[in-house]
Amino acid sequence: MARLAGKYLTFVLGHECYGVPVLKVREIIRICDITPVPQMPDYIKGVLNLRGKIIPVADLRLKFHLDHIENTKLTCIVVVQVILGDQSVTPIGLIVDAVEEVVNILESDIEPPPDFGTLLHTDHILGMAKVKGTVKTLLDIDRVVSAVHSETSVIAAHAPR
Amino acid sequence: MSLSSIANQVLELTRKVAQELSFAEPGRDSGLLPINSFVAEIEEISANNPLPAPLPAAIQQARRLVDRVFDTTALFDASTLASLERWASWMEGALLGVQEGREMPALPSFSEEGPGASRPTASKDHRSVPPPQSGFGRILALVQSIAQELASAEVGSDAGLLPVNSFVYEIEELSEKIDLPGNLDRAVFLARRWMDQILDTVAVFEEPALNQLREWTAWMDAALEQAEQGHSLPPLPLGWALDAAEARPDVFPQIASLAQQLALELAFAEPGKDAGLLPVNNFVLQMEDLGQKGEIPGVLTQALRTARQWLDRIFETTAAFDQTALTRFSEWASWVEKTCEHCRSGYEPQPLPEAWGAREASGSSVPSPAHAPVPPAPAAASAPISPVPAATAVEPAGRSFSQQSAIEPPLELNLEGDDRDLIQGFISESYEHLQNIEQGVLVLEENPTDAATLNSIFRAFHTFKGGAGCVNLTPIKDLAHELESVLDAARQHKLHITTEIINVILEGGDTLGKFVEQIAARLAGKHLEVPICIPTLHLVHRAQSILGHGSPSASEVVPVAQAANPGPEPLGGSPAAASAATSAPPSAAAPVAPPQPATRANPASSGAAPAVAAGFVKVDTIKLDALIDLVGELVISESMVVQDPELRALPSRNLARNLGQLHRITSELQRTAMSLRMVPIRATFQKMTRLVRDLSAKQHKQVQLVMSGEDTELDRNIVEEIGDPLVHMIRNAADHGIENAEARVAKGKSATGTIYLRAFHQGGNIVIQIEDDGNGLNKDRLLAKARERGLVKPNETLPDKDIYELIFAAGFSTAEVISDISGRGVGMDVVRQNIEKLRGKVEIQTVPGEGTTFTIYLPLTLAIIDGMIVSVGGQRYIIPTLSVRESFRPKPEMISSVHERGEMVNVRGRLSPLLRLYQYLEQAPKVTDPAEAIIVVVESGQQTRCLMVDELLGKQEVVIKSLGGALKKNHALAGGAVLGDGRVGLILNVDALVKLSGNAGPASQANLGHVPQSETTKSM
Repeated sequence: MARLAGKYLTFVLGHECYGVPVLKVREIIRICDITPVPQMPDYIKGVLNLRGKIIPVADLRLKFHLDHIENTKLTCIVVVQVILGDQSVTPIGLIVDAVEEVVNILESDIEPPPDFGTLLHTDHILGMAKVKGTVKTLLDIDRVVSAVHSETSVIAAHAPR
Repeated sequence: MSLSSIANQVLELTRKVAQELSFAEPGRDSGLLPINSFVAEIEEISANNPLPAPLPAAIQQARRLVDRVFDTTALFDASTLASLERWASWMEGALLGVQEGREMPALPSFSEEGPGASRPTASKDHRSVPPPQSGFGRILALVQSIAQELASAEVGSDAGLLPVNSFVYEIEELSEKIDLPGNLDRAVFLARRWMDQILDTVAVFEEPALNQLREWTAWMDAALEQAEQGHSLPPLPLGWALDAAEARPDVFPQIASLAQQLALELAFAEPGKDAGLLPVNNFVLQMEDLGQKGEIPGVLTQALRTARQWLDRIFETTAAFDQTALTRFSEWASWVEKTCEHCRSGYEPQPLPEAWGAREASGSSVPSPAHAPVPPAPAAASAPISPVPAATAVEPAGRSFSQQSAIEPPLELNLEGDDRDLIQGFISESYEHLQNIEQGVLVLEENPTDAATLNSIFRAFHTFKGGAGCVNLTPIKDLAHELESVLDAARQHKLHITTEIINVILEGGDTLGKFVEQIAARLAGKHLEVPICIPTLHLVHRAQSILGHGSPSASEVVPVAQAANPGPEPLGGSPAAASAATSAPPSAAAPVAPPQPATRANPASSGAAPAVAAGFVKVDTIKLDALIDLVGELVISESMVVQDPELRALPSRNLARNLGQLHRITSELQRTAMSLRMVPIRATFQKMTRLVRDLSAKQHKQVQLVMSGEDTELDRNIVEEIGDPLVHMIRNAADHGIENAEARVAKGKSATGTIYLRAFHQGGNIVIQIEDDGNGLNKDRLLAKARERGLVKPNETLPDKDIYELIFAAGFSTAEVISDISGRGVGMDVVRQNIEKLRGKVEIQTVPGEGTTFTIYLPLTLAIIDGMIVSVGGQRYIIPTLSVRESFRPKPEMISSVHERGEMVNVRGRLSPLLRLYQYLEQAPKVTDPAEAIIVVVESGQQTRCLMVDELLGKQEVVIKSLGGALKKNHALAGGAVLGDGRVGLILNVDALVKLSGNAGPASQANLGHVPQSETTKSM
């Protein structure tokens, strides 16, 4: 749990609150035309054109097996810069219900991820932060996405860790 | 006073007038004042004494003629002179008649505007031959002729157009002579413009133009009449002025009234509030519009610009007036109003008050950009370039190292702190030096006395030495120093360049290259724990011995490898073998990187001709790619703006012009950006020179390489990727193709074999050709080998072309002796794979006994493909045009099925499987019946597939973009492309599609792409 304190961008999925390290976030864009890509898990919504660069877009709701909802005015895409297994850095868009704010989270406010046993894997969670009376799940976005990647691979090897 | 004496006085005055007139000339004013005073005297006499009837009128006419001269140019013109002459002679006759008591002659019209001037009757007979009058009357006649023509003109026909045009032309000519009053002149000018417009565009009368011209003739008619009678002219119809966008006389009152309104608005404005700000802005906007429509003097434009600046600043900052701004604006408004009046009445407009500019700079609350903190100019590029010692003094040959022990000096590498940057700089520079050395040596081999080349190699070593010394790389410095000394001696003609010297220099270059490679690896964080130990002493000794003896003999310090090399080859031992042998002993663990040509990393800069000192800038390729991406994006945004329906609906000509300009600039920018990626293939070709040299030495064959088209430019990525395949093919040519000298001579060929390496453009492709004059491919042996390996069935016969293609099969080699150069059967299949990866192809032509030619076709650039855009279920997909054979709408009878599942299309007698693209792409299609859809026949290798799509949308060149790491593994997609509307279209990988559907087999084709069963059955 070393050095988890810092600034996090928090966003909402359903009634839950999540945070990603703000240094990972490249930009936040409005929901826009996404070109579907065939032969992908359903939470990979497709690709979009980010100023000439084509980046994949994942729906975090579907990724975390939450119910699908229609896009609202607040729905947006958080573009994060992730490090893949082979150390390459790539941008990926994450569809979230709404972006909240950037909060500074102190080390003392962070608790290790709870152990749900087999009910729920928590290895993509950095920790749980208590901010102003609410609990926010801090995501290890690299792992969330590397799981995305390994699942899309044709060979479909076991997800790392 | 009797009438006779009065008449006599007038007669004398008239004669004086006539006398003056005889000296007067058109375009001059000489005589004008005397004539004026004589006429005035006559008038005076006529006013005081009653003259018989037509005389006063005649005198009036003279006055009018003279006045008109004063009113206009104050110079005589030909028609006025003629009129006055006629007047004078008439007067003379009339006055003589008075004296003799004769009847008064009738008063003619002396000028075209005389009251009695007879107008040509508007009858058809006169229309094309207007009576030869001058001035207004003539114009009127011409106007009427135009009216005549227009009466019979028809919309959509050009009948009468040319006569009208020539009449307008005549009017114009006349108007130049007689200087028509303001609006008339304007009207003539407008008519000319309209005619020009008609003639420049459709060249027939059109409804609006015809109406406008008719209106014009009516107006001219009226206006001329008014002018004749001295009345003021009617105003120009408003529509004309706006149409012609040339409302010079009219904009001033409008601007002035706007300025008034603006001043009024300002009266209500208060400092610190924004009340009135928007109206003021609006007025300024309107003035700007007017300013663009009409021609306004520069100061006014400047004033408008100043106001715009003030307003912009107010909007950018407080969005409210302050006191300064208010005073300024009211001053401005009154100035504009005054200036407009001045302009209108023809005075020079006042200059712009200087205070405005000054106050602008010191404006209290309005920050001026001039005061904005100027960002500090970027510090002069501080490249970590190791300073090069300027001194070129060279120590006396071979003193410093002769006493040194025989222990190889280790290379101490200090990668901490500042040194790291210095070393980085040294390494990045050294690639270029290494290449210069290698190229130069090869030139020297041909021409050992080439001073320029000697100098360039010398300089390269010298710089190397300086750089190495700077970062304490002693072995490098020492070696470079010795080689430099050798070259210096050669430069000063103390030494004759021999093969031994060339070999030493080449090996020295190689050794330095190895150092550079190793250091670069350490810089990249690899093998940090392993010390760099590359032997240099033997080279140092050899160099010293060359210098010491001053003789070309190299027998004394021949390295082991060379001694082991059999045969008295003229070119000596292969440097590669030599260094491989000698580098082994001291530390076997030292990882020697594969002998990758050091120059590869830097083709962009090395591609430049070394002699040209023109400015080159080394740019990070990542930045370059980012730039090219951004330019691509700019081009897309530009086309989105230009094609925006709302913008297109705007009738502004200005906008259209500006958009056109934008388009031109962006296209040019794109072209330039694309050309940035292009580098000449020279660097890659030059590596082959070295390769052939080494190979010929090793193979004991005499081979020369002849290159052409080194300046042909290719995409940077292609140049990088094509190197390895070329090496393979050149090796093959030297190893298998070219025979040894005896065999060649026996065949009647010259002993030296030749390999031609060419690059050239051919129809949108880059072609690289490798031709050898060797033995050619042996068809029988290829076939035998293929049968042996089971690639071809024993009794199967193949066309020649297919037999030659066999060499591209994996693991295929016919070389009887496997040499370390080629013959292991890995190679040609990899060559083909690599070339196909670059979306190119390779062909073979061979003539047994005479040689083989490999022709490689490559695309100009990897970044762009020609694609066919199709739609499937509302999404657009791109099929590379290269693999599309044809497309059509099938007839129902062309479709047949197997087991009601696998479907086939009968394309001119050939059955090929139907692939319902929507199933694979997981789209809901518009049509599921193949007979209503479009079939695109694609081919991959020998196989064809019929892809079923909803619609064809067109063909377009698209820039291929990677789909990113996440989706790379989706083989059926070659990538994505940003289409004209900014959305992404996926590019289909036809090869993979064919393979996928092939593997699935026709029966299970429906499962391709995991289509839900329900949809499959529905669609079948």
